[in-house]
Amino acid sequence: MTYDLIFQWIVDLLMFFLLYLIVTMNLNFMYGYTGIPHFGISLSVAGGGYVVGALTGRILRWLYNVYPQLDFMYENSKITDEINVHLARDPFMGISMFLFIIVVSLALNAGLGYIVSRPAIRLSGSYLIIVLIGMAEAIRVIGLNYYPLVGGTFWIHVPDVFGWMGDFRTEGFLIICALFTLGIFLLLQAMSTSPLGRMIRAVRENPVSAECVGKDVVGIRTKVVVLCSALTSIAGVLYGFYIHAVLSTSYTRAAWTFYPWLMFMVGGIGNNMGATLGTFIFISFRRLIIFYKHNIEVYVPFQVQWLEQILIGVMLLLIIMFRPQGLLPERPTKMRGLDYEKFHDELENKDVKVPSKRAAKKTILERLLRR
Amino acid sequence: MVSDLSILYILKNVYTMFPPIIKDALVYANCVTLMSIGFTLVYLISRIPNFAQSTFAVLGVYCTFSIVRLLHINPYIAMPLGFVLGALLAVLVYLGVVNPLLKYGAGPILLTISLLAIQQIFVSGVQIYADYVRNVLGVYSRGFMLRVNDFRVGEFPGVLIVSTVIIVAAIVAMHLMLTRTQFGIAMRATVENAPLAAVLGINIRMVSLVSWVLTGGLAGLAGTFLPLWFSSGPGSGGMLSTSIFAASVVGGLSSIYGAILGSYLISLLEVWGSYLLMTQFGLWIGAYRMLIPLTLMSIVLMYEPGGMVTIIESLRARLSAPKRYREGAST
Repeated sequence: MTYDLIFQWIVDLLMFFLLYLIVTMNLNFMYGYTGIPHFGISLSVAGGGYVVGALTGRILRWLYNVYPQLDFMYENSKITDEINVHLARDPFMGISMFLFIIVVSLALNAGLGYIVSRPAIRLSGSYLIIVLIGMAEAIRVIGLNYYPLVGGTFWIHVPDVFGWMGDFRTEGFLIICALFTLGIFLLLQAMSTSPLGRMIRAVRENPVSAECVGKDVVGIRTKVVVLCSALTSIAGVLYGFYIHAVLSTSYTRAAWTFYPWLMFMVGGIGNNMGATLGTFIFISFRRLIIFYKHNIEVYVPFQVQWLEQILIGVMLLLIIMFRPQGLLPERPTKMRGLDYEKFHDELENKDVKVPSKRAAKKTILERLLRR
Repeated sequence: MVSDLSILYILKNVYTMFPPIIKDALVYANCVTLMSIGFTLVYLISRIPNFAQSTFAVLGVYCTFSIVRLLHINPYIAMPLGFVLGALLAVLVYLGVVNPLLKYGAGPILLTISLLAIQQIFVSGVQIYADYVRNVLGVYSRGFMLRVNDFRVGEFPGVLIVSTVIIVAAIVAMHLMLTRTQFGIAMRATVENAPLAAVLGINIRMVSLVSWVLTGGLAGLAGTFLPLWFSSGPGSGGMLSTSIFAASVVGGLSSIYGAILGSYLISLLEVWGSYLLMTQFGLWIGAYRMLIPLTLMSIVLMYEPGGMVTIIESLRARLSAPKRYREGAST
């Protein structure tokens, strides 16, 4: 095995880990903390991807005035090559385009999240699941059939906005993705350990009593869905820029809804540490399968991906049956300003679950990564 | 000429003008009805949306495929086979996954995820079968349509007649079972109040098991009709699922009659609506036809989450009440 192959494998592993981590953390924030079973999360990823595919090439072509007489969709690769030549000498344009696409994607997907959650957000779980699954399928069908958006069943090329990095491009983009993921992680972590985090947990545990103490349950749920849809779309944007193309057939329910659900069920519901652990385990497992796929393919008369999906499904069933709380279970919420030393023994004698005594004196790192 | 306007002439004219779109709509509606009856039944008794429903239909699709393309015999032999296989699979799912999870006290969300996992597993299994048939036996196994293997009675395809007969028989049998037999009454009692029914000595587990047998069997049966009229493959269950959900939700998810009404409404509107839009705007719009049931479902959920059952009941109550109540209702 050459050095390049191993390097490529590790970059791929880290990249997919970061992309899926964004989705998983948002899903965890929606279901684990707020109790919204979002079974259509793939629609936000697809939304981000569509924004990248439809806008980046068109805007850059207009700015650089590349082949104005050619049809954008049919001569896509020719136009994109020419744009890449321009972009390789223009770091300012590349970065500002990247940030612009992220902002547009956040805004559009916040709106999309509002629209898809509107019909059933005030109803019970089953109705919400049915509607969200349907909506995700609808977004996918639109992407597959509306050719000018991202090329229907073909694909659309995405200009390389980081082409000016030269040889450092792969590592550089990985670092940028890591920064974005870290930002989202810190934001969600801060939100979930603040008073807001306690409020959304109250909404999850008992919507009726949350409403009794004056919380607008439907409003909170809508806001959480809107925020998380917007943040999830960043994963779609980064994915599009990573593979330099947007492929509408890749936003399937299995890949972007079912796998993220499995990841945070493995890791543990209701805490970001669990989501991270689950994502890492699952992504390593899948990358290994993909790496050794061709060795297995010789022996069986069918495609190995079906065997892989059966394995993943059975794994999920076993986890649900034998360890429904995941590898890292959620801990009881800690309230600021409460003297835990004083209450600890008293509560423990009554068999009440309390945070451990150590929780009071934590270092900054421990505070950051707390569950 | 008078002789041209004879009854025979008119009949012949109507007979040849019978538009193919009606056949499409009716076959589709029959399949959706069979499946949404099962979906609603399981939701009523176990309170979980059965997302694996479309999987049982895919099983039926491949029953017909194997019987016609591999064994070269009459496609209608697949009917009982599809029913039995679907029912067996449903029993396996219920006893292997759903019942243990309910025993551990899992909520509807965990059950939903596990049903999605089951769907994933079974669809992958069918894909493996399709791959095997193509690679080893050399028979093309995806995107097949078996209309030529069907019999015809004049203008009417056999599948339309058979599925209509089956639908009527299923509805009558269901109605008789729910109203005339001891077991049906036990079933209705479980729907109304499961713990109370258990106190009275009704075996709730048996009732749930029977509901799963019926849902799997009916879905398998519906699946055996699909390839006789539509192009089918491993993904044809997913194609149907939006219509099934929409039909059940519009029907109200609270009674089987609502599901029947909802599924005829949804599937006729879907097929007719997409046909009208296609003649108006062009063929490209046909690809988005699943947006029609989705939009209808969203509208119903936003304005009347109870669905058709609630609408009909409130209308009936308003009409049957004495006049003074009708006018004084607002005061």
